[in-house]
Amino acid sequence: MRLLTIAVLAAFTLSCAMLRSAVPTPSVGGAIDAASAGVEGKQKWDECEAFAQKPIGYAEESAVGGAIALALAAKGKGGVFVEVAPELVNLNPIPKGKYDKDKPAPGTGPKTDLTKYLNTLGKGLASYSDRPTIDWVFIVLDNPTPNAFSAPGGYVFITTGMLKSVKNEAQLAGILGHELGHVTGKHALEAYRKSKKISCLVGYFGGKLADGAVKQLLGPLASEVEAAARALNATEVLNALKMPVFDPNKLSGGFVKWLTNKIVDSLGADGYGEHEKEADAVATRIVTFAGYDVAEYEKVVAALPEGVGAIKHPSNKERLAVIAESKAEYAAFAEVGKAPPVSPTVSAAK
Amino acid sequence: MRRLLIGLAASALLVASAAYAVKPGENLYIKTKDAKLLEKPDAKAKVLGTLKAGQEVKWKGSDAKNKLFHSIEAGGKQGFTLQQNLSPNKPQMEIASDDGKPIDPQAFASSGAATKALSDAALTYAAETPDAATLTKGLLTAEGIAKSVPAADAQAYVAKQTGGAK
Repeated sequence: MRLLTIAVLAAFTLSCAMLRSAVPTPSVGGAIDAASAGVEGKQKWDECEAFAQKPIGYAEESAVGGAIALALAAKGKGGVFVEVAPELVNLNPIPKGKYDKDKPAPGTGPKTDLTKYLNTLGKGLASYSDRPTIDWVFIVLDNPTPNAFSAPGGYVFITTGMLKSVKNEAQLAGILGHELGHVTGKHALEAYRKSKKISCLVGYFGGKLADGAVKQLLGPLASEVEAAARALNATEVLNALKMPVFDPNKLSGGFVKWLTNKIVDSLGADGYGEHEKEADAVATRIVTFAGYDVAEYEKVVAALPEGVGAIKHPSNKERLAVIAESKAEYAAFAEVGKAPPVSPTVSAAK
Repeated sequence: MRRLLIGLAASALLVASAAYAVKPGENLYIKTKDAKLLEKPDAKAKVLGTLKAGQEVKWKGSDAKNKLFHSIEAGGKQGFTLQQNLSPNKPQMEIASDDGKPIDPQAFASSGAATKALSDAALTYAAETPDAATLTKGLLTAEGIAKSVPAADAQAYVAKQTGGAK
């Protein structure tokens, strides 16, 4: 049984491995050799760095977050586990802007009931996070592989396989809390910042990549800029740099596709690393204050298989130490932890 | 091997003993709109005042008899509130408009900027990527379902599930 649990929960590790990145740092990319690049080159580099590090508003975050959400969800097999809203069934394609303010009225059925349950629990948990008022959306994916992941702007995904594996609502709260932690920590936005910087470098240096001094200036980013230059239109990039606020909604299909895939590939290659532990600490705080039993989340983490995949991942022991530390910090609030059963609506996923 | 295990156990103890614990007098935050500050640790006790979402309060400790209630000091008044009204997280400021100015989460919520759509960028990506295109209707449907769940109902649900129903 334990083996089954371990196997079933394996993809929770894999999923988080998919989504690991680094926290915003003062600089992204390689070192600068001002002497070889020249003053103008260094100025352009600095402009790109400033462009990447500009504060990201919620509109920009959720614009790119929607595309990332689609790209991540498309990586797995199976669609969204829901009865499609009646008004959308024959709407092809979905017109841009139509649902900016209003949303489609939900349909009816067991999958819709399950999604409603997940949004009720998820939004309730999010109220304990440090981003209580962003537009959280919790989505079930029809995929037997246990998995959970998130995208900027407040998208949280969980697979039917993962829902099958949870033993109670406290475990589900822990898994959702972990994903809330990645969104509140804005972990995926670092990959977005790096991609913005690379696109900016394409704009300024895309036509000069054979120049040795430029290559030296670009340092470790040179190969990524070269690859990006083959996909991006440098003129469009330069025009995008002139926007008062960078708006992914106004980019061409080619630019959006490159940007989104670049972020998703980067997350898949580098993962979240140490930020898994940060997300665990957030999950522990949220689960504790909401009144669920943190020990149930510890069981989920303890059952994760170790060393799966190529991405370096904090060990279960390290993660459990973080949870224990966070639990000790808020011990006075952990005395009332409950582990009620999940809603009967979850049976739709079984 | 035995030594190694003892060493690991000792390390774990050191980590555990070094763990920080929230102490009385430290700050927590009110997460619920219109949370009550009560005279006693009892849901039917006299209401001393109403607390605002995001408000910083001083935590004094949990009640010895009813751990669901915590003693706090808020706006110069001392009283009790349910654990479900408290959050350890100071709310992040959000950037709602093109001016780049951060605003608090409550102002953000009422600004209208907190409502996102499946973005044009997402629809553009879907147009370029057939695998993603098949997901758009499901994602948009989920957004409609999420919108149909009021934040207050979601908070009340969690409180009910964990025994802290108001």
